[in-house]
Amino acid sequence: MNTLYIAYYTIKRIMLDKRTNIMKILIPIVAIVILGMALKGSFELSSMDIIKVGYLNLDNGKQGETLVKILKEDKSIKELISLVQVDSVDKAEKMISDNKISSLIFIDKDYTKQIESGEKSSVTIYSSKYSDYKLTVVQNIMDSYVNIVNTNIAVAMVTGKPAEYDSSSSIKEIPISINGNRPKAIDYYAVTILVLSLLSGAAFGCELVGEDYIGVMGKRIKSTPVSPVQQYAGKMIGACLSNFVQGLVMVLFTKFVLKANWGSNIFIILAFTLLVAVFATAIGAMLCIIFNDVNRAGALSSLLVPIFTFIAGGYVKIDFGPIKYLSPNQWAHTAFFNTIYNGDQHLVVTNVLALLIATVVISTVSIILARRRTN
Amino acid sequence: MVLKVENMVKSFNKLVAVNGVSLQVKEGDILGLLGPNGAGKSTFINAILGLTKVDEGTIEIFGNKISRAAKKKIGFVPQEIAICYELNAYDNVAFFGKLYGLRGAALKEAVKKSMEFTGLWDRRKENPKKYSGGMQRRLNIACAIVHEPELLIMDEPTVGVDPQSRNNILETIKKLNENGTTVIYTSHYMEEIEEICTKVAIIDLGKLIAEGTSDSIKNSILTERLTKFEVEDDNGKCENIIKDIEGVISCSVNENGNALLVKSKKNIDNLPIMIERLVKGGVKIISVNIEQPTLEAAFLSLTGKTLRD
Repeated sequence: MNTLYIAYYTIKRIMLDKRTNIMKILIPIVAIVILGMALKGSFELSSMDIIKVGYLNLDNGKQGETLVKILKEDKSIKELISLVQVDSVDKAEKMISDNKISSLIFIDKDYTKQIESGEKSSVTIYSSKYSDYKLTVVQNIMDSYVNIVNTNIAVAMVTGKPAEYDSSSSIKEIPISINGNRPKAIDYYAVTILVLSLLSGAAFGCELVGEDYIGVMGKRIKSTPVSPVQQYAGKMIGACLSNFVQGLVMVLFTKFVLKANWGSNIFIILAFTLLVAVFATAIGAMLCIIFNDVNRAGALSSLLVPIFTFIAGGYVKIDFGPIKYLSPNQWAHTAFFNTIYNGDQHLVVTNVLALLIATVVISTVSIILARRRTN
Repeated sequence: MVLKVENMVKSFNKLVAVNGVSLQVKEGDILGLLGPNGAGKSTFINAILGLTKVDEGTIEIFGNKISRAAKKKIGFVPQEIAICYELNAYDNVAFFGKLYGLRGAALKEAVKKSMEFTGLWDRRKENPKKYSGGMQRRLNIACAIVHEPELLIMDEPTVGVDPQSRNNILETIKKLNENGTTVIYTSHYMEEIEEICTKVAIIDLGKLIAEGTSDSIKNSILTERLTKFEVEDDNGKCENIIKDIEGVISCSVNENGNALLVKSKKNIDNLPIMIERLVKGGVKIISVNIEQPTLEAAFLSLTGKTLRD
């Protein structure tokens, strides 16, 4: 019962500090809104405009004509590029400089002749070095064309007649999120800032456990018939619940007010929120008990949480490779995102287990240390 | 026996904080624990409360080792004010009442009683932040007595308190003692110890150097008595008249020649002879004042330092 009384009065004390509670909820929500708005562009897919490509066909033969015809009339190519005839390479160069075309497809006058005589022939692409993906698109189209031509020639040489082929798509399109929604910035930051806020609860846990464990209040409580385990458990329950309530408000607010995507099962999301809240509070408590100094432990947890958040891409979406798995934020992100977007359920289980095991280990270490400190 | 400590030793690395202290506190005692900072008082108290494990020796509280059952009978008032400033005064006292196992109507009754006892009942709904320093000290005490402990351990409960609140606290302790509570009380204020304690223990450098009643300590330690004569005019005669009387150690006259200070051996009653000789020598005595031995002086004599060194 003492555990419950300590938990009850811990929660009561926290709830009475209205100003701190409001700030603890308001600041992350403001951060979600700001980051969600500011980095909106990084998360949204924009449609690709049709690329204007110049062509100069000096070939008088059939091959050059066929190439231009295909580039102009093929349905799938027409979705990507639009051909503009130019009179000379110089003019094309100027048009590229003026951004009127992205590149030039140049067909040499001996193109047909070289193909028919079995010589090596080529189509030249001129482009600005700043053409980025547009050049890649044109290169890929030309590569595909060249491959088809080469195949046809090879087939004709072997069989003595032109090759026949069907055009079919081998690409199957599957949306990466449920309900056809793709993650927006607000969805991403709703998760990462939630995790950041919950893990910031480590400092809070440290402060809460510290004040009633290390300080004079701790000494006083230890002089009562309360055992160190009851004392630890009571403070932990109180601190975890208060940390969880912060997360709960954030999830509900971002879901219903900011319309962030939390997936189709809010209860699983809330269960993860509780788990991260418990994990964070346990870390704070352990640091406090190890250092036996609230300020030092609080400073360390305040330093670690932003680092963990950064390497897990919590502030800016950067992939730090395997190092990101050292961050508990990454475990939480993986569990949340794979649940929300119906991702790999094996990853969800693995990361939730990692958080659970870490919480149990941390709590056990804290209790053992707490008991030893009494001696 | 409420408390029986035998040969307690506690070290922190190379520092011996408590070195072979043996002490007994009987039911109904108010034990004043005296010692300068770093003497080992807090370690001694922590050991009694089970907050620190001793290296050697035994501690018996109510005839047994410290246990959860024993802790239910102990109240502890730490030197610092240990209350929750987010909760109101009533909730603070109720919180500790619950930790000591009080429930329901018994808890309510106990909270009311302890708050009335400390004069805080009328302001029970206020936040302690609004209390004066003295009231916060009283709340600190109310939290410790809510379960009506048989043993109350108070560590400097009047530090930084105004005289009115100090008197209130001392009266509270006396009343608690009258109601049967045994008290262990540490303080820097000798006058408080002298006023309320039935027994005094002096600790210095981890050792118990004196134990007994205030009077017995003073009498056993102090071997001299200082007598001050206020006279009309010395005319240089007094010193010669007094100095050869048996038991007189030294004699001096102040600059104005109207006060004579005589230091004598305490166990020789030479005051009548001194008065008789002075009168016969033609000295007009206005007043005679025998300076009483104080615990402060005894402490100084025992430890070579004042209590606040």
